[in-house]
Amino acid sequence: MKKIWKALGSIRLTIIVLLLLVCDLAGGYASLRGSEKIFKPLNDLGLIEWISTYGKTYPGHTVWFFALFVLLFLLAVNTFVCTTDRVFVLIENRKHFLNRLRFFLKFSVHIMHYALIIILIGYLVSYLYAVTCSNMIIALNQDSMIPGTKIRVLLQSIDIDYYQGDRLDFLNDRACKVKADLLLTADDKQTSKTIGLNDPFWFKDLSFHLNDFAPRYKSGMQRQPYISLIIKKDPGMKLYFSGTVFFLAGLIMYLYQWFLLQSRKGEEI
Amino acid sequence: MFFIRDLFYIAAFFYLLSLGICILCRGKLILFFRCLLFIGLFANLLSITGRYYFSWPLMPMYQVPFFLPLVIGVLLFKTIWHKQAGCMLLVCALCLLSMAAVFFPNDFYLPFLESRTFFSHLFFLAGIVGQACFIIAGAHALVHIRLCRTNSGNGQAQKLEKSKNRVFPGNRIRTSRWVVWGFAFWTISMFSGEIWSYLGWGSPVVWDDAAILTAMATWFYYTCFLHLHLQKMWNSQRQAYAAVFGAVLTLIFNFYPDLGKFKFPDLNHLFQSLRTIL
Repeated sequence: MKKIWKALGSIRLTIIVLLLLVCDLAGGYASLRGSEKIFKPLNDLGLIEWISTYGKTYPGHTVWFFALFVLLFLLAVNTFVCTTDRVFVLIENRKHFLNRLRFFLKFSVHIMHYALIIILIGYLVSYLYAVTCSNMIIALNQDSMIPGTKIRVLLQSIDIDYYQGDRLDFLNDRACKVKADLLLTADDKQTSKTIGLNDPFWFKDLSFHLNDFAPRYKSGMQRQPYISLIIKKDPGMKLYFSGTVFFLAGLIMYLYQWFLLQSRKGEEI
Repeated sequence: MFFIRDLFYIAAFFYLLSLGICILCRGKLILFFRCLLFIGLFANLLSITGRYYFSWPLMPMYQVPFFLPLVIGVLLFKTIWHKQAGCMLLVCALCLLSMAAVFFPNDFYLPFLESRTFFSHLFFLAGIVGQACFIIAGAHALVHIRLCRTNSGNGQAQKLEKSKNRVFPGNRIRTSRWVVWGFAFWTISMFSGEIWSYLGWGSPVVWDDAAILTAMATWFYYTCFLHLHLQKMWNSQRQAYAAVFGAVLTLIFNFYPDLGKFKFPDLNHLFQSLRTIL
């Protein structure tokens, strides 16, 4: 058991897996270019359904993705074992640190490692359990039911700013900013929310993202005002974003340790 | 828009001139070299400021080749200004990168509305700084390799020992420092992309653009580099080769996809603009 644990935490395994990941992703790039349509539904269908449909149908294009999956799993296990070993050693040797800050900063790398595992788990949870309604179109003043829920959504108003000016020639008379007011009804309670591009909102475990809208042009044939929403229930979201925050915190700690403490003494990083 | 492109032609021209002076008059005409390089950097700065001005608040598309020479020039201003070790190599890199942007432009794409967020700009700018850091690290590593080869080739064992203490560790430390900074900026860029992607499309990974895979590959490569470096698992020579390979990988994975098809620069427009100004 000890041997397996040691082998799984080996730094050589880390290096091999990382290099294999580089090769796999390079191959994936060549495969994905021009065949994005195979991978686009992955976000909407979820991993299991995507594997049983697109994944199986286009094995030549998707084999790198399965290899990526295996390699990331190996990397996560290796990172966990290796980091846990080192954290225990660090805690055991805490008496040797006279400076508490220095001792605390020594955890920076380990925080980044654990954060990476959290991010990867978050992605896995997201691709396994997220439920997506990828294109829910709601016309102005239309009241619709969100599929799979008891939430009703009404588009109350849509406010589109059209660009008028000389600076952005390509954007003249085109929409440059959009805000839509929605009225959500759940359990006889009504809540007003505003949505925009890159400005989603959250309501009862669901996130609402503005995917498309109309009319996009001020002049020309006028289309009926509508918005298209991406509605998502993503249990992995909190995990991967907390992992991101932890990773950044670890990175800042590491840079602080390296830049301020070590460089003062002229040590090599 | 064409005026912006003209400014970049001027920048590339002055980069070339400064390289010519650097090669032909080694150690001489330093002031002239500095002036030429400064004009080149200034024209590049004006060009990219214009590019941002004419797309703000949206993110300019496929503009990395136009931004990268300036960022490298600014980050290494001191090294180039004082003509320190590797200066010629770096000026050469500036010229090659700017020439690639001049002859293979891909700046015809219009910015898209979904890029109107702080995170898209952070993704773009931090990515450029990250790439610049990786390329600079590669350049320092190349200097290290060259110095090692020159001294070992002459069979000057004592000199090698001396220079190992003086020049080589300097380049080695510089290499690893630039890699650490590059890794930090690259990570910030990737996380900004993740947040932008989530805000815009509800998913941290959008499969519309294959470039996401090369960005990840670059990140994993430098993760591997840092592991080997921090664990002290290799000698300086191997590390230097890995840094050079990393710089080449960065260019192939991240710079090359932003280039377009070959297009001869519109010099007529440049001359007309210059005539109008003069």
